[in-house]
Amino acid sequence: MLDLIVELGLVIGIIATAIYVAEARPISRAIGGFILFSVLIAILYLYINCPYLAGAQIAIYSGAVTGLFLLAMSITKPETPEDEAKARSWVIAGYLIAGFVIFIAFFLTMHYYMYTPGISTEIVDTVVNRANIALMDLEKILSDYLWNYRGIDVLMQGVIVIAVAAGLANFFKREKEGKVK
Amino acid sequence: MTALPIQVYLALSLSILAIGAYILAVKRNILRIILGIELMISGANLTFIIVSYWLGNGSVDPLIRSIVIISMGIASLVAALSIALVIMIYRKFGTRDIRKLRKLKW
Repeated sequence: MLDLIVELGLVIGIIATAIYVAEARPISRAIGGFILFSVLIAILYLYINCPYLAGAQIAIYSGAVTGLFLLAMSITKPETPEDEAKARSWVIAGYLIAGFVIFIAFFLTMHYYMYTPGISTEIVDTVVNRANIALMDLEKILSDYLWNYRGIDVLMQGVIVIAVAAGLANFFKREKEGKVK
Repeated sequence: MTALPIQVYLALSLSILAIGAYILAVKRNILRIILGIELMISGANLTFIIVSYWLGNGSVDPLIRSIVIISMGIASLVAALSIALVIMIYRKFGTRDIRKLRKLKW
């Protein structure tokens, strides 16, 4: 019964936050809704025994992508009708601090569940019982698979860093040209 | 296995995809449109995981996990490039309203 309630809550929460992302005004609230959406998706991944996916979801969506959105929102002035309400700096700082706290709490909890010897948790038990495989073996298999894709991962990270660096360089270059004119 | 049937989770994934498509079709703010794209990618990733969870009787194939993690990396790349484009469009046209960008048509 508790599982049913938790899963229903997750499903309803995910749909509600997705609708909030679509309809919230100003855009800063939509970004906040996107953080909550990503956290709920990560909890769902954790619930179906995918802790690494949950960690990646939190790190990439609630961290990197949201940071980029906040950056873009702060350097482009809101002028469209749906952005009439001005975004305040303390709201952005609150989002960043809340995201950081959630990130730390999530990983501490996951580390406690997965690496504490002798602890009997539902996550560890379900992984071991359902898959009938030891948790360390599962981690080894997953690590082997991920190791095969390490080149692609590093390449994508490099492309992202280069894209951001090129964008920032172009941004400041145009700024300097504007001052000259 | 989960307490809810698999159809509920597939409906959830399709709902997320539909909400993302709605944002792409209706909204005018470019940042919100990029948020819609990210929502659609999240829905596609969730579909991958749910179908693998269903076919594996409660365990997700590690290959699918790897594919989804790579998909997340590509999604962050899409977001980074799109936001760089938004910044350049804002500097060029002074707006984030996509309807005011009709000068781009030829």
